[in-house]
Amino acid sequence: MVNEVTIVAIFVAIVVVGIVAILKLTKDKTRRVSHLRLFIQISAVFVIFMGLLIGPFNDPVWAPLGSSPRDRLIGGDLLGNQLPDGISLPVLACYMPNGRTITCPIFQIQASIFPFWDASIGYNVFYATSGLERLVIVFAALIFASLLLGRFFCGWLCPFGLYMDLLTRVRKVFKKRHLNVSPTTSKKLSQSRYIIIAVFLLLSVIFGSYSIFGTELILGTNPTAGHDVVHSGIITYINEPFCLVCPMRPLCIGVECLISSMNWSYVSQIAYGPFWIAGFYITSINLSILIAITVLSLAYRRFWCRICPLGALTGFFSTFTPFKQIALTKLYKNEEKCTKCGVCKRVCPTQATAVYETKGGDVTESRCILCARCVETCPYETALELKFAGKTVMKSRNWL
Amino acid sequence: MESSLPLYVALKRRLGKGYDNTITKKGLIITATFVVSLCILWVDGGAQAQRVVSFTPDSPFSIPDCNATIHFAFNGSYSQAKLEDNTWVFSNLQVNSTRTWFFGDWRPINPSMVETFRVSAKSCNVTIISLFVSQGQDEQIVGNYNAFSQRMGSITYNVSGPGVQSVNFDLSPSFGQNPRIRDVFVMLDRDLTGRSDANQQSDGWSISSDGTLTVTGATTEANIMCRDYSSLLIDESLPFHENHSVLVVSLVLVAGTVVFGVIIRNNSLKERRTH
Repeated sequence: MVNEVTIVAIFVAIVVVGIVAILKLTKDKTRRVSHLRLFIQISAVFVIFMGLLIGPFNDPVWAPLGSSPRDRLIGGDLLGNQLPDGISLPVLACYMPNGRTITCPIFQIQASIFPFWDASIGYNVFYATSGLERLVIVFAALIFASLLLGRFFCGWLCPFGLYMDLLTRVRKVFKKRHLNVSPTTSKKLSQSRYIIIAVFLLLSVIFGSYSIFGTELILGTNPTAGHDVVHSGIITYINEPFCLVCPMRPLCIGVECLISSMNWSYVSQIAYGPFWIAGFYITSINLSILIAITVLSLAYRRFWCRICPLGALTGFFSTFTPFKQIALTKLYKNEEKCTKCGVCKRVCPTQATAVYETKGGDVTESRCILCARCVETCPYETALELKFAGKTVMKSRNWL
Repeated sequence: MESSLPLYVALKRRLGKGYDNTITKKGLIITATFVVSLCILWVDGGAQAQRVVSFTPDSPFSIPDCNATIHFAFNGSYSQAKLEDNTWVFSNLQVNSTRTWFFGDWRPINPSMVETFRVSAKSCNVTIISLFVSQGQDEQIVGNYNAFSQRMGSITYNVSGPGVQSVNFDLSPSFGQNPRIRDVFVMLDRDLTGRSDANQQSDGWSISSDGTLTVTGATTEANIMCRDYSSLLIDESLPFHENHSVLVVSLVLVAGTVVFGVIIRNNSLKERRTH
């Protein structure tokens, strides 16, 4: 325990020193926030996948609940062993197989649907509480996080957002200019997020129908049918539908294999299931989507964030009425100081237009990931501000 | 030479007459009593040790009424083995099995002790190849895979002749009663080199309310693995807030944030009106 606390203390010290150093040493005012954001994004990866740093290592599946260092640090002892899936925060942090510290709410929502009414064995995890209770916890955590920081999670903390930003930097190395989708397409992409999340949640409910309604809506969803593929194939192999298509999963597993936290043979050798599956942990769909998103993100900034269903959920709980009225992290536009120069619109990585179009006051748009790039590049003093709980934490400065 | 004198004489010289008297009277009685007690304990201990019975692969455990015999394929011992209702009940069964079957894989194990193990057969001969029972998490065998299981039992046996076999690992009283707190994985007459599908319940095996697994569909080999999660269930005697602490904390956080957000919003609106 002492060692783990020491590791965390050293880590916190490094982060604090890093933040102070960036703020003091970066002379270019239009880059300071970007550098700070990159540093925080990288630091967040270590926090989110803390389990990878403090062990257990080389474990293909799950750590002993309540006994691993991460459990002692995050909730095992603090809140009782009711978080076998980790803490739910709105970041794409894959559960599989070692990232149980902080995990994606979409995974947790799907995992809570079965078993729904009773405490029981989930997908190789024993839950002491019912799925309904865990679902309430996940949504409570999601609403809490969204009200507190909103899509700041996407812009500053999400590991997949970091991957997107790194791809943008790769493109810049080759001195290629990014592409923009048309405003209509941008809006349609934004709307498609809600369709994606709705479809996958509906699929989860259909797949978990036996545990919710006591009857299987489609064949293959009966968990009591043992290991018979016909009657329990779906519930056994595609129980978490979104995870089978999520591009974060192969990325997480690839990184884990690279840092020797996971044995590559577990990915390459295990091949079974109704889909063409490249391994138990990575599906062909995962891989295809990751490749597609990677290619698209080299051309279009933060492409995944424009269609991310998790971003849609976070956006829903922070930028729609009534949530937007009480959200604590917001952009604020000072109408008198804005000259409509359009810099904010051009630099926005998700092509959100609300900052430019809003006449003044709070800027709330579900596409905005609160990366504060617009605040950083706005050349007019206090024309844009990033506020938390009514207090300005960042404001535009005259850097001309 | 003083060193050549008997010990009590030397002690008498140092400690005086009283010590000599003790040696000769009370001391002798106490010493004799002590020695006799030691002898009794030793004999009793020997008797205890004698009650541990060793067995070898050649030792048969017959069930004459059922026309069946059970063998172990390894050496071991037990403190008690009795035939009750045509079922062999072993107590403190020391198993010198070197491997066990775990979800289709063979895992090496060290010799282990099984507190109570019941096994029965009817119209067949059974040879137990491996046996493992853990009353807690045992990382030597399962690594972290068994993370959420507190108790597990695993057995592999060969069968000759069509018949019925039953085993009971004595995991927990609720193991047989509540299907939600158990995980039973049975493979009968399968090739264990690949990950074949397990047999469903009633497809050659069943479980009774006392946790006894009865196998009817094995003709050559049976592999059984059970996991018991009953000890992880919530203690219903605890108050609600202790059993559902995460739920309570989550809802309090949301409520607190909403209240805080409303206050901040009202303050901002007031401020803007003032300006």
